[in-house]
Amino acid sequence: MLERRVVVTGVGVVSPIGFGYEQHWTARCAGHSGVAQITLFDPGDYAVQLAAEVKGFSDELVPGDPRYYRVQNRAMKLGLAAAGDCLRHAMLDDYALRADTACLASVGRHDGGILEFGDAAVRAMDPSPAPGEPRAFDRSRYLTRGVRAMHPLWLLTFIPNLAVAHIGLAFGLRGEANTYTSEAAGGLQVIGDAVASIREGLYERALVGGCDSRVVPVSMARYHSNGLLANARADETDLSMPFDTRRRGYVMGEGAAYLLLEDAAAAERRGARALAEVAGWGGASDAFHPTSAHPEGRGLANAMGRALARANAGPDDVDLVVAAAASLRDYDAAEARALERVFGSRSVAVTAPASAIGRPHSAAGSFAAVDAISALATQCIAPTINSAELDSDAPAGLVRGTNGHPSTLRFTLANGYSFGGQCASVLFREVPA
Amino acid sequence: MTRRVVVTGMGAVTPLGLTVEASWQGAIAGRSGIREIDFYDASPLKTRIAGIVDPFDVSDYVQPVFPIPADNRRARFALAATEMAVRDSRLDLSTEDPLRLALSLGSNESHTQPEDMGWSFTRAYVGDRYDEGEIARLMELHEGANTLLFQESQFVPSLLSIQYGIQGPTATFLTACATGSQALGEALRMIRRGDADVCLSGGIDSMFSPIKIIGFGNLGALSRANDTPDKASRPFDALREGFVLGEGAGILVLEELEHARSRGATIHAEVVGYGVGLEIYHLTAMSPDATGPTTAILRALADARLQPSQIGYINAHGTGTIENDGAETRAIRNAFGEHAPAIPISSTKSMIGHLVAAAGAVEAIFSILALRDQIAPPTINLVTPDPECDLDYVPGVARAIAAEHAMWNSFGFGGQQV
Repeated sequence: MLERRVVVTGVGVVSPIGFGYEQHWTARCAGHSGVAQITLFDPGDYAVQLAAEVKGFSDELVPGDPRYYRVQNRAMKLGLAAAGDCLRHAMLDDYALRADTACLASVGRHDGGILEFGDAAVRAMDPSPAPGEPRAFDRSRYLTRGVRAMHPLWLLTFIPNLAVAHIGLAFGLRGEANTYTSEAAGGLQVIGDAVASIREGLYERALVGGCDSRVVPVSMARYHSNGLLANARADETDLSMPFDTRRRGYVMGEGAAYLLLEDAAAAERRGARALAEVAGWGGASDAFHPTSAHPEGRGLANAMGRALARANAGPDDVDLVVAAAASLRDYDAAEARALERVFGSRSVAVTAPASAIGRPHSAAGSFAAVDAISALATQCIAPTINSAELDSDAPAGLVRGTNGHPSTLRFTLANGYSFGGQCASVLFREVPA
Repeated sequence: MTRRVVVTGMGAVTPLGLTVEASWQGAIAGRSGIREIDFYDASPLKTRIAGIVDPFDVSDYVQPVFPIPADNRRARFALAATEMAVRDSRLDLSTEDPLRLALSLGSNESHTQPEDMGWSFTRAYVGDRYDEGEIARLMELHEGANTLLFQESQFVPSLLSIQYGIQGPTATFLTACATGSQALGEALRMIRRGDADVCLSGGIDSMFSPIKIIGFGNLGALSRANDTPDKASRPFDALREGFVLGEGAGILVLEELEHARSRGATIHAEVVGYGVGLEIYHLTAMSPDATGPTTAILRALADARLQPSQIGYINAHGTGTIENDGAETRAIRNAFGEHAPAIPISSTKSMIGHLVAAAGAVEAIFSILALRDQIAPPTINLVTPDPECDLDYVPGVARAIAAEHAMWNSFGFGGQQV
């Protein structure tokens, strides 16, 4: 029996450089940067002043029942908007087809922190401190009076799989569902698992992607204290510089990206156009350290190798690698080594979307996929911006500048590298027009 | 030819014991692991009981390669349960191809608990508001990098991959109460699809910090029977009033059949089917006709190529909320039809509480042991029959069964059914 082919028939994006897929890709190819001063909270004198935020996003842009806004966190809302954009782009408006559509999402933790708990904490402060003493925080008062300041159903904003549940409710998706919390690699793991399931005939189509938003003090503290998030002055907007010798950490990103994957025959039946085919995928793990990359990037090298093997493709077939590199000292170096191990001395074209949109954690893998798919669909490579002084081991084929590079592309490879060493890679193939 | 998947190792820490065998003996004796929360001051809370794992020292099980924060319960549970599972399987992981080893885990996240942020809150308070940037700086000072880091869901698998040299695919899932089962289902697919020969899989959870108890309480989901902890979890009983949170870990070694045979492994059970249904009817409720759970059960049966009459035992999701137990009963009736009344069904949550991300994994282990010993553990505290729940829930005491196949159910908030 001929194996089923799986194609991408829609892309939806809400990113720091564009609302909607077309706007995002145009901005990527024009070398736009989404990195700017933090506005989602007041950073005061904190060491990190920059982030790549989705600008001008408000509840009016969130599809679905407005009654749910209060129990949705920002990542869920960004995800809903991107999922809606994807279904629009894929022109999947047939409700019967939607009902059978699976939904797999890579979702990050919600660190709400004081943005949500702040009002509660204010109520928990001892109202009459001793003279000259700071107002003390009263734990018992917090757990009784304090929490009454919060929406009673606040816990729902912390349950990750509700990101998928909200999408199902808003768009009528009632197929299989799963939520991955593997961080950056998750956005590519969902593609591999959905494609395998479609090939096995478990379902015909799946909405897969990721959403994340961590521009909140608690998250910043988590990654900054571990030396991952870069110190950033307000004027250092070119700070996200993958493979640059001056790089000193990543810039916090946020956003959401979804893809519609379909059995090629089913897509053809409903007259959908295919942007790219998923040719191969693979996952592997560094098994090395919770915050540092394996010096040889062995997890990522193995993941790329598996993606190529599954597609019966070789390294020479690959025309572009969309790197996970996010301006981190060891992770970028590890990816460079992994590329060398897979591609040898061949100078394959490489681009790093994190230069423009920062590192959106659980959505990062999905954004790498968007770059790889769009490159095939438009035969154009979006550039790596900011990286000017390349490290000695940076990939020689790094595509830099502020313009899209028209190229002939048949296979593109997207990489995801999670903090903690989970890696995934997906190979896409051009669908001839 | 489909690759077959068997269970060759099991490890668990639960409110009933610090090993699989101790937990199982507690379960068939009908013991309750629910007690008063005593490791923090729970007096301001309306629910002050939980299924609590006894204190233990992780180094009694294994020496962690990477130091873990002493107060991170999830990391300790995960290491202990995984070590027991690996030993039980008698696999020598150092001689296996590291790329053929995989992980598929469900793990909840721990959060920086606002009630523990008092130190930072106090110092960041200026005038009548908080200095938000200052909060971030103070947290770094006060909590330390490692503590903050290990709150992330993906660090437990990262830790295990380092501890056991697992270089194949590793995936982390979080689908509320269905997490553990879904991780096992994905592990089954991973091995069937040839991505790995051995997969360590299961779930870990511990989340009864005060703020989480308040949150679940607000959803109307928690029992408040603080004065009678051992009677608080009463699935399928007419007087049930909500679930009791529990903590723990269940890890299984899933292995491709020929791989297990060729090394002469002891095979505990075969995993034959997995079904997922999504029923998004309401965020926290199931529809009255229980479409989602029915679909999940039917898909699992179809995947396993089994007839309803071949299932001899069901470990129910049975949380003890009014809604779940009624809907689950309807789903079992829908899926099993005339056979439903003849199947012994038990909710071990009556004894250990709801382990959330770990629930499905621990209940899978109990299902396997039910097959091994041909005993159905009881549903304790089921004394007042509910006309809505009219099946055989093995009330009170364990019972001998004749079962070749067992099924376990997990349904989650957000319409996630496995």
